[in-house]
Formats: sequence, C-alpha cells, structure tokens
Amino acid sequence: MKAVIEPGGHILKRFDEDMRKLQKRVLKMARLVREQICGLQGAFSGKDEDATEQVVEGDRSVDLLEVKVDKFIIRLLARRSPVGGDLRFIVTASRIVTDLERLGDEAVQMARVLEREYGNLGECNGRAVEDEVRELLALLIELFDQAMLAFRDYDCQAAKELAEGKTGPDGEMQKRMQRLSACTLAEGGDVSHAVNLVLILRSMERGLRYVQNIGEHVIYLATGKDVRHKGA
Amino acid sequence: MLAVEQKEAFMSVVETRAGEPDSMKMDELSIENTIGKPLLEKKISMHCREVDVFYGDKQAIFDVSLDIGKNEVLAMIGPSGCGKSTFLRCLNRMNDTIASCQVTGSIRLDEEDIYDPKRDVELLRARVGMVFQKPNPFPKSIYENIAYGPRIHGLTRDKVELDEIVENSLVRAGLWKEVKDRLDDVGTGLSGGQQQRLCIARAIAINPEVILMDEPCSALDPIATAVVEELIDELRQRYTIVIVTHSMQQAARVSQRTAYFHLGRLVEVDKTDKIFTNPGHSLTEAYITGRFG
Repeated sequence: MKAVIEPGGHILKRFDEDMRKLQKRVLKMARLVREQICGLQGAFSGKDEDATEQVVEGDRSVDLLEVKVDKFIIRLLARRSPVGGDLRFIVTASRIVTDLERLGDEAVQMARVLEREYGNLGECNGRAVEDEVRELLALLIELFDQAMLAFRDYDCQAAKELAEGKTGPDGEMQKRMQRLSACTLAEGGDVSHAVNLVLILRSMERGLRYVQNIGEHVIYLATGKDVRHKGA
Repeated sequence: MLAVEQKEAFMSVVETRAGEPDSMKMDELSIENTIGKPLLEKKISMHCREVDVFYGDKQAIFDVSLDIGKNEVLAMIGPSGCGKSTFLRCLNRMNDTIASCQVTGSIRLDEEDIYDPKRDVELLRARVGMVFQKPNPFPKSIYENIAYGPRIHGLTRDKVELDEIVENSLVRAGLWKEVKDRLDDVGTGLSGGQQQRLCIARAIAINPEVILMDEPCSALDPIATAVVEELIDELRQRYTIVIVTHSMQQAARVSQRTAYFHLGRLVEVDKTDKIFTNPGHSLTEAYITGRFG
C-alpha cells in the first residue's frame, strides 16, 4: 500500500518545524514572484507609472529569498539526512525556488522592455499590444497559481495537466502568443515595436515553461518519477 | 482568471499543511509480505521461502520469502523487535542454540536445504559466517584468533599454509598493516574497531560464501565505523553479505538492496536507491523518514 506522506508527523518535531519553514519560504517566494507578475499587469495597463520600477525592485527580494532558501536547504540536508518523501520534498523545493527566481527575472525583462517604449508597443489586429500582453499575463498568473497550489497540496493530477500543457489557460496562452507573433510578422510595422514584442513573447514563453517545470517537480514530489525532458 | 475561492486558498499559503498531525494511521495499513523483484537463479546465493519462526507459542517471523544475491550486500532494517536479527540467525542456523525456537519453510544455500537433518551444522556455519554486534575475539593471540577456524576445519596442511591464511585474512580485513608486528599480542587488547575487523578476519579465514553481520558497527565510533563500512564494500567482491543495521545511513551507504521488516513480516525489499528515495510501501516510508520506530 502506497500513500503520500506529507511533511509533518516526524518523531523529531524540529524536523517537522524545518519542513514547515521550508514550505512557507517557498510559498512566500511564490507570492513575491506573483506580485511581480501582477505588478507587470498594472504596468501594461498604463495606470501605474511606478509599476515597472516596482517589478524591478521586487526582484531583489526574490533573489535574496532564493539565497536564504538555498542556505536553509543545505542546512536541512546536512543536519537531517533526509530520505524518501522528505528528500523528494526538499529536492522539489530547491528546484522550484530556481524556477521561481528565473520567472522573476523574466518579469523584470518584460518590465524593462516596457520602460524603453514608454508604454507604447503598437497595435495588433486593431488592438493595443499592451492589452494583449496584459491578458497573457492574466493567463500566466492563473497557471502559476495552479502550479503553486499543486505544490502545496501534493496534487499530482493538477501537476500532470500543467506539465503536459493540457490546462485551458495553457492552450489559450499558446494560441494568443502565436497570434501575436504572426501579427508582428505580417503587419511589418515599426521595427522597434516588433523587436520589443518578440522580446516580451520570448519572456512570456519562458515564464510559461518555468510554470510547467513546477508541475514536473510536483510530479516528482508525489510519485518519485522524474518526467523532465520526457513530457509528463 | 482564478476563481475567488482558489485565489483565497493561494493567498493563505502560509497556513500550510506541513507539521499537522500525520493523517496516515499505521493501524489502518495492511502489512503484506513481499518477495520483491525475483533475482536470476544463477545470481542467487541464498533462497528463502515461506520462512516462519516460532519461539515456543509465539510466532516471530511470518511467511518470509527472500532471495539473497551473490556478491551483494543486503541490508535488513526495521524497528526493534521486527524480526530482522531472528531472520538473520536463521540463515546459518544460529537459532538452533535456542531450545524453544522452531523454524519452518525452506532456506537453501546454493540449492542445498540448510535445514536438512543430515546437514553438518558446523560446516554450514563455516560457509555462512557471522559477525556480531559486539566484537568478541577469543582471549588468545591475534594469530590464534584467525588460525583457530582453519585449523579445526582442516583447511591447512602445515604452518606455512596457516601463516598464509592468517596474513591473507588480516589483509582482506584491512588489519594486517596495523598488527603484523604484534601477532602474538592478545586480540582483546586491540581497539574496538580493530577487534571487530579481527572478528571479520576470523570469519573470512575459513573461506565462507556468505557473511552475516548483526549490527557490526553499533559499538564503534564513526571512524572505526567508516573503516568497517569500507571493508564491507571491498569484501563484497568475494562474498555475499547480509547486514542488520539500525542506522538508515549505514544501510544506504553499504548495501545494494534493502529489506524492510515490520512485526515479523517482510514488507518491502528493493534496490537501496529506490528504498531511500521512493519506497513502495507507506510503512517503509514512515520508518525511514523517522515517523515511527
């Protein structure tokens, strides 16, 4: 009989505390990255002039927390010699932290593009590109939330759907990114706008990949199977 | 966008489930014996099937079936009283020394039933040697500790051959360099770690096929433990080793396969890497991760 054992329940209660702390710190880091992406949404709406600056500033906190969590993980490995589900949880946390930090970096990249263009990225099919990007970010946030909830709840099924790109928001994101990309090539407008849009789409694509990675890490956590580079 | 309740769930992430009482109830879990992935016949050193052990009316081992591979280190782990030492002692009939102990089922060493009434038990114990928890050298010289076994089993014709066996055994046990100039000193005068290696040398002097080790490092300090563990790894090239240990790290370090025992049953046996990263049974997981013991 196989059942997933969650972080609590150790005879050594301090081990439980350590595992709880680790989970909290990863989720706190997720919250900071989420705030960056939400801030980016605000920046693309043009209503908040300081938004891009806040996204860049927010990245410092994410970076600092990454270092802190890494240090904590090394301490846990050295002191507790974790095995089984505990080991998988710690390895998963370490991998997720790396992906979160990279996701934060992509948010910064997008904010920098927006700063250069003073909030004007041109149009696509008669709609402002900023609106399209904002909606893409909303989908990314939705997927991100699903990934982090899957981590919190050891939800292997949700993680599988994410990793395989089978969720509704994932398909919608892919479709919209392709449309935006095609639009840029077809309309042949301002080269600067086109280059910036390509940069944004590249960051968006990477962001989506990092979220899918989190899904793969959760599958490893719940089942012990490493599905990276294989498809879930 | 996210449904409101999902968003709330995410924002309350700090109220995590980690640290809550374990929802898994041990008494609700069925314990079934396993046999693990069968080994190829030619790779099997010992073949145990449906082994039951009773001490009087009390059953200590329930229907255990297990293959022990040639040149492998098999670690047996489990909480105190789970039957791992009892099972180990069945493998060279050490339990015969306990009057109330009765063993049923089949245990074969290279196709020969070790519980065959015609079997010479002394010869069996020469083929399946044993190293105990506490080093127990004879109160004799280092040389005599090693020479005793080969002499009584008639393995040598003359002193030259015996000297060779003593030297080879001490070399294989990693003790030769430390004692070669004081072979006449009493064995009990060595340090704990050296005494345990002397006992290992004594076991291998009679050229066994299998060496059973019952918590061989539990009385040793970390350095002596490391030396014995390194020795176990080297001995694997020539012998099959079955080790009972309470140290999870030791099982992970020295063995190729690990068997988990619980309440007299074999719950799981698999590659050590698998047992310590992704065990198949909740009981194994709970034990190795320190959730009960």
